[in-house]
Amino acid sequence: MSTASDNQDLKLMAAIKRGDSDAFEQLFYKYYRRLYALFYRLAWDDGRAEDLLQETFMRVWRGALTYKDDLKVSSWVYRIGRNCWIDLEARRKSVRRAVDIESDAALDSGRVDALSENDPRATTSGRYAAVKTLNIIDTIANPAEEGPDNRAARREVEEGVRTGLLDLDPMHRLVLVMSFYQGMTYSEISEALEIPTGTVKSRVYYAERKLRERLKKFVQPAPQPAPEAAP
Amino acid sequence: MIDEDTRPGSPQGGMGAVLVSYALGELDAGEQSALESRLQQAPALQRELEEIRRHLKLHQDVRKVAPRRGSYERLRARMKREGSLEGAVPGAHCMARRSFVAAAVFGLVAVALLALLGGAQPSQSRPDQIGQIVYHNPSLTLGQKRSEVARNELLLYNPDARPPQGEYDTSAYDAFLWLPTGQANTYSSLEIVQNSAFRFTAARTMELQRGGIRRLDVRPGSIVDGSFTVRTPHGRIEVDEGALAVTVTRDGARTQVTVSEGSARVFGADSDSVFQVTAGFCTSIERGKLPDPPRPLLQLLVGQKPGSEFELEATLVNTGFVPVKIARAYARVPVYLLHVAYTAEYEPGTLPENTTLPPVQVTPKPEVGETAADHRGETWLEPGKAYRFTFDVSPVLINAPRVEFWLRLEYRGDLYAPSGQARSMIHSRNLRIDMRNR
Repeated sequence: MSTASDNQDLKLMAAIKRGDSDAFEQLFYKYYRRLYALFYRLAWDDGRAEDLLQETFMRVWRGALTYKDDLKVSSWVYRIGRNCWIDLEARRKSVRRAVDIESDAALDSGRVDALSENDPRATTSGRYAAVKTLNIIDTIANPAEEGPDNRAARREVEEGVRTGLLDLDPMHRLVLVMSFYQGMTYSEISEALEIPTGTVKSRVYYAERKLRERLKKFVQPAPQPAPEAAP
Repeated sequence: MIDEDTRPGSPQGGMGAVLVSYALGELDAGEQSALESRLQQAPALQRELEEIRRHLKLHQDVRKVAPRRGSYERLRARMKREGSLEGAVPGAHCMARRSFVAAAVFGLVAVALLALLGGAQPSQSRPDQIGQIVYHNPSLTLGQKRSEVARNELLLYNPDARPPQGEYDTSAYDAFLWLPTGQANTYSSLEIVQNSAFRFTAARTMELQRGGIRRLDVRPGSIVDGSFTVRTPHGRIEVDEGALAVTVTRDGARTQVTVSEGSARVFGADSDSVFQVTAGFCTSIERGKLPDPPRPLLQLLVGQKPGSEFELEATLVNTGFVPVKIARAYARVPVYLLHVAYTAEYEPGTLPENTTLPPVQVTPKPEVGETAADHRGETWLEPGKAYRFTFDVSPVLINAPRVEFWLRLEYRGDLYAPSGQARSMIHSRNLRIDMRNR
């Protein structure tokens, strides 16, 4: 059953097919926050998320003529986004292999400062930059309400979530982020990723279990104090 | 119903997956109530559900992120840089490229198939079809094309067919003929006047029995095709490449040939002699006679105007068979040039010296009742008609030595006959003006 939002999307796509760049802009502004958030949680990097966002919408523009009305526009856009991310992951893997080989060679030659890609210092546009931005945003958003201890605890949780998510299998990470962070239902994820609902369900389960295990110390309830004896 | 399979590694995770689904609100009402009743009896499941909820809450508390400002502007800049905005329709250039590749592949396959089938050339719809004939209402003025009347295949003459085919009579219409040369986008074309009878005995051999060809524009064919030949009752004309007009006179006594571009070879029917007729020349052939030697389409005459000492009269006459467009005397570029030469008087002990002055452009002097506009631009000269003007040579001769002068007028304009454009040297005979006793 199509909603008003879906109908609006269809109109926008029809206009984009005619080369209407204003409609393209409207579609961008409708989805760009959600997609950016998705890519950010997948890559946990502002620069990569922005790259993926741009690549996704470039493919939307180029492939507008191939869009068929029998699919929801949002699902179609998510599919494109997923493909962009898979492409990026494939590229990163090949780069990582090359970097590993290079690192081994550097270590052999005595250069111990050779960095693998997982090291936050590996890229200037990578996590250091992202962390720096996050700190500024945190400061602006919560000027004085949060004490230093809370802030440190919060950062510890975020770091745990980040490493936990990045350790997940990429496909499991994708469905988990879509479900937990994007608030998408199983059927929506199923349509967007072109996989059965059962697969979505199992991937969410395994991803959740693994991540919960990783974040055990934040998830488990604090030990209850022993009940005092009645006076 | 709830899946009770809690074995590790079961496809959907068993009870754990149900708990996660429950926490995410993915279960329907029946499944929810079933799970809730089961939870009341299973504290371990309750603890796990509580953990799952805390886990979810943990993620919900993670700080929200938003893209930096100017995302769309950066996207537009990138698309512009990479050329994605080219073309009115998104992705059309990609599709066009794909179409081009597909067409190229198809073309290669087609060529390969043709080569395999023995190099067969694309066949015409009929083996005896050599071109197309289009009938028009007759032209009243030169160069005018009237409305189309009919359009047919042009067929080779075949007397054995029933009824005989390939004999054409244009009767009350003009006809345009288009003959492919075998090369892409290249045609020989013929413009046939009304009341003409003709037939093609070969793809490049035409028999003109009556009437005329106002314009025969021949483009070269393949080597094996040879020259384009027009046979008339009086002889034949062969053309490799060029434009000409061929007319069988109304009394049927002779064939007139006027060449406007390129050249043609003219053979008399009763003689072995041949004349090469070049652009700007014409000739005629008759039965039982040698062909006339080619002569220019125009003749230029210069003479002294009666009663005037320094005024000369120039006359350009169309001596050909077809109307010719000529340039008049007032023109942006010099068209009528006067060549002046004289010889010094003979004196004992010295040799006479020949002097030739640079050619000068003549300026017409309008007669009574004429204006300058009558000598400006271009005009058509019908056969036998002339263009005439007078000009003054006193500025040239006034300070000249008192000797004998020889004056010659040259016409340098293009000749536009109906069948093309030619440029040939046309000049008058020398005119002697004796200034010794003046």
